Amino acid sequence: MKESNPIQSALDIVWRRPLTPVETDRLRESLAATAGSRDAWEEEQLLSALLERWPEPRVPDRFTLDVLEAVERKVVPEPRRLSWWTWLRWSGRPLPSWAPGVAVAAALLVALPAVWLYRHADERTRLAASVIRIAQPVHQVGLAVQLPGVEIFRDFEVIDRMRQFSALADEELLASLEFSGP
Amino acid sequence: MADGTPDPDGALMRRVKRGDREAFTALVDKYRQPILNLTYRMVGDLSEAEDLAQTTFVQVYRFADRYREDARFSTWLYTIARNLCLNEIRRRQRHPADSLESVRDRDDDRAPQQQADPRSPSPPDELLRTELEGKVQEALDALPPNQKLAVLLCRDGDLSYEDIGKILGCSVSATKSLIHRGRETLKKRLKPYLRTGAWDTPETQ
Repeated sequence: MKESNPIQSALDIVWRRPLTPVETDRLRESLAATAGSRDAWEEEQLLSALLERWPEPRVPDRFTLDVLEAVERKVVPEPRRLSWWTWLRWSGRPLPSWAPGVAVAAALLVALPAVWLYRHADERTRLAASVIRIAQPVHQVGLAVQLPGVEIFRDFEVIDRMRQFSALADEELLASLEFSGP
Repeated sequence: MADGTPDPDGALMRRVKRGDREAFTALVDKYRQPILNLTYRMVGDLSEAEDLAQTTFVQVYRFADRYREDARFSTWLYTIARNLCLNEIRRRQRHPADSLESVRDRDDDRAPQQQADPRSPSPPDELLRTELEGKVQEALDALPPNQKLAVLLCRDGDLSYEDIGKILGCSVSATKSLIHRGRETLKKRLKPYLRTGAWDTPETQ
């Protein structure tokens, strides 16, 4: 496309807007000097006129209102959707990218000891119950039964929890030990 | 601004960035018609075109922070509309059944308008207008999307070739070339209709 061609320059203008009188005069001279260009020019003009008068779709009356409602809906967060995360962000400062990782690590630090303590306490309770179960038949029948190792009684809590099964459990244990003797 | 003249829309966008709804409303009111013209001519279905035009403005509000004041607002706005239209056209190519729905909807859209306007031309004129409108849309739809956009932006927007080039993502000479090729194709396809003057209503003649 040659910019220096006056007809092309006029086309560049007429594609976007009608020519001014000065531009029209200049074009008329160029068209007179260039054989066969008049028909091509006329077609261009007709197409421009056709496109220019092409009916526009009617904008709905509620268009702007609908846009504002859509903005409310899609862009501005609703109050009921506010989460703890949003509350944190309300400080105005963006949260650092490592924040979620730290939060998970903190939760694990609290949860793991709690689980360990729970499991350990449960283990002691089960040991105490097994001692009671074994000690009672030994005391009643007088059979020598293999008891758990004495070292478990170093843990005071095992003896203490025996009361959960019988109020006299510690006394029964003592009697059993005396009975089975060395 | 590249040409040194202040863009009044840029001032409004500065206010929109601060959450000013009045400034945003002013921009919507100013550009709703040209954006709807573009989306309607690109997708050919009025209700989808309205959705696309609405989404364009929602995106403007949503991504106001991304607007750079060294660019014209209208260029940025039309770029958003262009991307949404091209996405819609690509979606339709993947799901051709939707296109048939749209054509049917387009016909439905036209019917009430024809009956509603009491100043509408007589039935034969109206038929001719409707037929011509369909032919122009058909000829336009046959163009590759970028040629179609270039021709429409040239017609609709108060945009320079530099602006149109920015919207299309190509140079000024490539933009002019797109328009030239698009218009050549349109002239060939619409040759039988160019001299009918069928758009002319009794008021405009």
